[in-house]
Amino acid sequence: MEGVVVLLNCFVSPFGNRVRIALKFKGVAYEEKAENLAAKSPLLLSSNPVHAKVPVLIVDGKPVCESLVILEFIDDGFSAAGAPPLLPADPYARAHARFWASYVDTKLNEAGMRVWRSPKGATAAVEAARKDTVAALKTLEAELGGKPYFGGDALGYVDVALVPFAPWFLTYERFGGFTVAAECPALAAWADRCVRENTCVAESLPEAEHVFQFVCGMRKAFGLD
Amino acid sequence: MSPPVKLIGSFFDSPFVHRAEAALRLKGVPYELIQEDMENKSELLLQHNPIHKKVPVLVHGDHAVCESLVIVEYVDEAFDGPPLLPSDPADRAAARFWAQLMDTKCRRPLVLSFLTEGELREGFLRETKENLALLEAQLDGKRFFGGDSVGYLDIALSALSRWTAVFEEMTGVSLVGGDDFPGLRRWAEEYTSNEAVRQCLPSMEHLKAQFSAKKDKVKSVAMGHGDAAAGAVIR
Repeated sequence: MEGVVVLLNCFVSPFGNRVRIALKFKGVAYEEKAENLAAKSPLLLSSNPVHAKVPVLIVDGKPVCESLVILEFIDDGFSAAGAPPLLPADPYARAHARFWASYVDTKLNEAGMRVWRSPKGATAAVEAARKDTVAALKTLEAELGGKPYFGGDALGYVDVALVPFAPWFLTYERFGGFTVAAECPALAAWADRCVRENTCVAESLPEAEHVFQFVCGMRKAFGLD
Repeated sequence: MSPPVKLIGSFFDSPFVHRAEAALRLKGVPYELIQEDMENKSELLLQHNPIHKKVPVLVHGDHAVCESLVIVEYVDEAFDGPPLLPSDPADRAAARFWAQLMDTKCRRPLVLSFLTEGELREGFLRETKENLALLEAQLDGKRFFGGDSVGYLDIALSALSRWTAVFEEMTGVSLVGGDDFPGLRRWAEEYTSNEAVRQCLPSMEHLKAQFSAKKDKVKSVAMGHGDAAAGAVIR
């Protein structure tokens, strides 16, 4: 695939950071434009008119939206020599990977958001969200099993879909009152391994403390405290 | 020689199960349909979809594939036959984007347009018409979203055909069948007339009977839990 590659992102966005990881994984040169989600740029609004969300990948002026759709697009389109595939070749293995990536979006993200987005004092809601978040993390941990990565021996599609949520664990922990290391030690170890063994991951993720500060700022802005 | 294919579906004539059947029929893959009683889930379903316990589930030899759109892509990749997804990466991304939109943004207000009344209904109708306008623009006068033949996105949007027509007839609300979206109206006729698709489309009468029987339950679920519920609505 030819053309200039631009990524519209917000540094804490787990969805946007999936795309960062994938582009670096493939060795694709790109320019990142930071979006202020409280004041969206005309470029964001015109390239993602349906959702007005990040990430948006713009290749040669043409936008692609929705992070998992973008991951598959990157896999389909940037297969230069030496760039490993994100998804495996076997159809069943691909279906398996797609299932679990979708699980991260529908189960983990949804529950995690409820943990940090509940208004102050909504203890029952936070408790329910904590239970659901831990349950989702445990299910993911069970799927990981004894493998070093969800993709097997190396980083793959599901790893890229999930690891950008790792910097959010601290936020879930502080608002939810639990620790990932205690509840899901193998998953915590996996997250560390992803960063330690893959520069594309290490270079793509924000500090957990920065995510927490960002969320605190958001909570104030939305009057949740 | 490929192992046999079973599809676990439901008595409900779910549009999610239809997606899987349409993909199999369009690819020319023979399969056995197993009707699941969703009020009384079988060991087979719980074994093959322990995470979500929902239909459809495709069982192909040792492999179980869950989630309707994942199944459609699996069928496209695992079997020979006319391709369901386009080959160009940007076109594939567009097809996946719009298919996802159906499930995350369009489905709930569409269903609730028919199940609510008064001001609530007006709100859901407005939202639905905005979504349909986007799809009408995406169709852009083509015969199918896939071009000249039925493809992945047509299959993903199939609930806009027979199921929406049934709702429209039962409630008198006009959406795809009206004059506002001539491209979509023509598309729905083309889709439901397709030789392969027709064989796995529930009849209007059957769907009407199903929805009449379940209307209250379907509505309370759709109102209560947002997108997850709208997904459960037509199971």
